[in-house]
Amino acid sequence: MQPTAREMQAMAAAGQISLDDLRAAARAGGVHDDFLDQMLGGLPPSAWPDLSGPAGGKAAEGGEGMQQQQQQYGGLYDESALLASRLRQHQISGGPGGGGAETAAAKQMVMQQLADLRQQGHHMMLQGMGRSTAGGGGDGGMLLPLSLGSGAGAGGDVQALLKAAANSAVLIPRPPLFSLKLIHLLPFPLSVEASGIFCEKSAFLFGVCLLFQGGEAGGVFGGSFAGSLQQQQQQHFQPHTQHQSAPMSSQGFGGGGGGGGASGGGASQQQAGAAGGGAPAPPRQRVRARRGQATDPHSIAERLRRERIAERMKALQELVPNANKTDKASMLDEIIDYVKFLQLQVLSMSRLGGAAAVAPLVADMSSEGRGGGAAAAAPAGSDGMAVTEQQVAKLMEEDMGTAMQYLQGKGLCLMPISLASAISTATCHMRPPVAAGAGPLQPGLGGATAAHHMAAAMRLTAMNGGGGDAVPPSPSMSVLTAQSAMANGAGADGEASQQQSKDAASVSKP
Amino acid sequence: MQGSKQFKRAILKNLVLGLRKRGVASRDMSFHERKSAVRHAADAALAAARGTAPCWSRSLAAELSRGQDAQLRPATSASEEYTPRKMTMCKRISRRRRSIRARPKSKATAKAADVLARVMVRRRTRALRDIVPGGRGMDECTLLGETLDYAVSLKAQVDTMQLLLRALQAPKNPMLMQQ
Repeated sequence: MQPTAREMQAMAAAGQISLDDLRAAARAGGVHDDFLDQMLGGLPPSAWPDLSGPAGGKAAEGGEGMQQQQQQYGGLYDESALLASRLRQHQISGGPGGGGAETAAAKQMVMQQLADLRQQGHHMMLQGMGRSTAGGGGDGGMLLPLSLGSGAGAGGDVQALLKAAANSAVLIPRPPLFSLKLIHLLPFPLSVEASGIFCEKSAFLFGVCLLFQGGEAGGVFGGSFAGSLQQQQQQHFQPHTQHQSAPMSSQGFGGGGGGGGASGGGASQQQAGAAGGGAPAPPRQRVRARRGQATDPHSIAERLRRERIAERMKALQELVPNANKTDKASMLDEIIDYVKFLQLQVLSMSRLGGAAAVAPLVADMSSEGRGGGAAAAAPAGSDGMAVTEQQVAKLMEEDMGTAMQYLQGKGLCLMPISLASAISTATCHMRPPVAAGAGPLQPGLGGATAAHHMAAAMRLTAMNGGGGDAVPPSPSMSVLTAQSAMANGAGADGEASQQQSKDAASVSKP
Repeated sequence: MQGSKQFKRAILKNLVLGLRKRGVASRDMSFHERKSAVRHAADAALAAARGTAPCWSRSLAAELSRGQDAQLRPATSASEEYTPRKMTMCKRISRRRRSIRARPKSKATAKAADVLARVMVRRRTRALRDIVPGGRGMDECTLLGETLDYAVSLKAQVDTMQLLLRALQAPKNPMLMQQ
């Protein structure tokens, strides 16, 4: 009721500027220039009387207006009621030119939804808005408050309004000061209302109202509100008919410009969400059908199965190291490799244990005499070793390669005696019975010297865990044999070592 | 998670009991025999410690008992999990995957890629079924769950055995001096 000529001019000017800005900053799929033109050009500035009044490009006035509204909670409702009436009038007047068709259609849908809502009896909100209803009267008066207070799925129309608001908000460049005020004002209504849903909606409401005044920042907030609204909308989706919201949100998305781009993204999400069916969030009163799929039990079961598999894969991804693969096949590859690796580890552990450590362990653990157990183990071990040694010696005469393979098959390796002795002294202690076993160092093996030192090496490695009693007596001998081996020893050396071994054996025998 | 200390302790206890029972120390065994005895003991310990809740545990225990009955006649690769056939199959799978190059996708190639992806996934699922004990009779969903459980338990088993070996490799002086 208070639009002045100068305000209109300011609006128009501001509108022009922002339009140009919008066009310049047109993003892919974000800006519908025609729609924007229609929206902006069509709406006479009188449609946004009071709310845009203080926002007529004058910061001071706007600040005052905001403050007033900060203080007067109900005052805002009156403003919104007035605005609603303005909108109604505008709509009734047939809309501006030809371009208003889309906006008019949008508004008509909004009206329809509001009418539905009224019939659905969201009385709580109506009562909450009692003042505004009284003030507004009729559908028009309820337009904005109801849309603002819509709790059950009429969010789409709020979306459209938000788009409109965003567009109009973009119209009015605001100093950043306003954005702060916007933030401050938001928590305010939350404390007032009782119902939780209504709280959120009212917060959104005031956001919308303030957006009419808020500047570029308002567009951003609009986007965030849209984002928050998405979730709410999804919750209240079911009583709401899809087709109404979809085209509206599409229009809203079409109209989304710079500031509305964010909210436009939200709208597209909403659309996708609407089309894609209620996913985890909505309460499953009835299962929503995906687009292109029937709600037959097969596809539902299929979907459940796929979800279960997906969550198992995720759990496996956390377990298996280096599993940053998104592909199912590669993920399965990693899993298979990991399990095979673990099994291989168990195998090698058992091999190690079988070779060396198990005997003393079990012997130690047994309740009988430990020495007895060890004594029982050692001669048997040494006998086994003797057989192995003979085998290896035979093989080595034929072919070194097969001998090595045979050794490796047994889990033994060939190593210089110095190293073996070093390891043995580091880890083990002498044990008499084992010395007895180690004593007879095969003087009968009159073959190559290699056999001798290899036998020693074998004994040392194999009996590593079993207590290298062979070690203290043997270093002298083994050093000799090692030297002889290194020098590719002649038979003389071998003989010498043999004799020495005999001596050592005789010495070490208890 | 499941690699709890309690679980590992149970594995260790079962392992030692099983080793003692099989007479690993006192018998005159060849290296291979001892190794397989230890492995069986380890698997049995794992299965026993895990209990009968997961499917793989039961099938593992069944396999072991079956393997032991068949131990009289040399059953070489009955319980051996790494047959050469499986290894070559897995190698073929990984080689095949690497050889697939990215091509510009038309509709036909997209469909073909889709089919190929499904085939690859199916091959790998089959390989996984071979690896996890008792994987034959499971659907894909339970297979993955069992794999998870099996992997965790295997990790615990490996840790336990490592602990054991390290304890044994340690200097036994204090123990020997008591003799």
